[in-house]
Amino acid sequence: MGTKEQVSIVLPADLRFSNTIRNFVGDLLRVIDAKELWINRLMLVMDELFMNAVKYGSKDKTDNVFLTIEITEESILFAIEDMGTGNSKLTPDELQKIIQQSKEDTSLAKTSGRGLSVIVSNWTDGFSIEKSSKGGMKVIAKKNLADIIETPQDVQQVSIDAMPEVAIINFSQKLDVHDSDVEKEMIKNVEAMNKTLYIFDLESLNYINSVFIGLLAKLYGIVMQKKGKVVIINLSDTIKDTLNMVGLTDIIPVVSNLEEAKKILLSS
Amino acid sequence: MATVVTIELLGLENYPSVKVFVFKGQIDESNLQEASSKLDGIIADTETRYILLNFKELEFINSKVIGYLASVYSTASEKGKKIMIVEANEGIMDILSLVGLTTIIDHYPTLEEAIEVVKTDMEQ
Repeated sequence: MGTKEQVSIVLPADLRFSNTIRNFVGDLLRVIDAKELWINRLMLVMDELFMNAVKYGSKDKTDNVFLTIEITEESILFAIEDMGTGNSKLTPDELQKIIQQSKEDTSLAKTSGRGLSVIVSNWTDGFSIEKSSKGGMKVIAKKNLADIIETPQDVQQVSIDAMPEVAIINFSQKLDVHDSDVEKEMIKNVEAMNKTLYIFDLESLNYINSVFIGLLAKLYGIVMQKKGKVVIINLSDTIKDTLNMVGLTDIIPVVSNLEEAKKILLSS
Repeated sequence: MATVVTIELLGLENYPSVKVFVFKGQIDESNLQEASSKLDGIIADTETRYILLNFKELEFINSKVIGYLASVYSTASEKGKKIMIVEANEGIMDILSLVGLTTIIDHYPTLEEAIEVVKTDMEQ
């Protein structure tokens, strides 16, 4: 199990940085194509770990909190360490006991004790607590990537609307659909269609990943084999940036709406 | 950098006992006090019986906020008031469900639905 990526950050022990940490974790998870549901969940996990390190393990904002995120082939690890200068002088074992007590207190109206015992416990695949070399506590939470990463069948659901002149392929985001044949089916349909002019409508997509980019390129290739033409419509700015970056917009024209697309396709 | 939330308090025409709080942005420990100070005043207000928390544009809450909501629920219940969550997005519902808050606080997908429930309750 080789390490793919590791990021380390040192922050002031100041809760005003909670938002910074969350956004950083969110951005990092998007880079690895994590599902939005899990991005939100793991941003919250990180927020809880950071909040505890600041509130219980640090005396004030002159202290530091140390965050390390490690992404391996199988999992993502969040390790957060404090300097142990705060009011809490618990040992790792004592903290584990408190967490266990919180787990046993199932009162729904309780006003505290949900961070580690409910949120981190439920939304990770385990966490450990140990003494940190920085002086305080080190909490390491692990999440298996298989649960959180997008797969092609998670992302795309496609309908093809064949008009007299052109075929419009509507891509829509549909999370948690476990139909492994969706991509193959789409390629098969496009190959079988008796059309040479295609519009790829991306209006319903909120985000795209590398798998989707690969799929677009494959579909483009199929249309080119038919000596046809493709135009992309209804791109969000974010998706446009991504397609620009990978160079797809250099080979596939992008216009803002259906009418413009038809004009281009039917122009010559 | 700082966590930002705006909270708008709306009344309901002809229903002075109903108050709607519209939350926009994120709440964590760094700005919870700002958010709670606005809500606490209304919970103490004797005229208000129904407090609708519109979470449509609320993007983030953590365990501290959940603890506060549990406390709001308990205090309001003791005073005979009803708390309702309306229009919470998927991410917020995910965390509220995980901690079980959706089993003690009524929640509605639309504001209209919640208002109908309030009106029916008032007639009884």
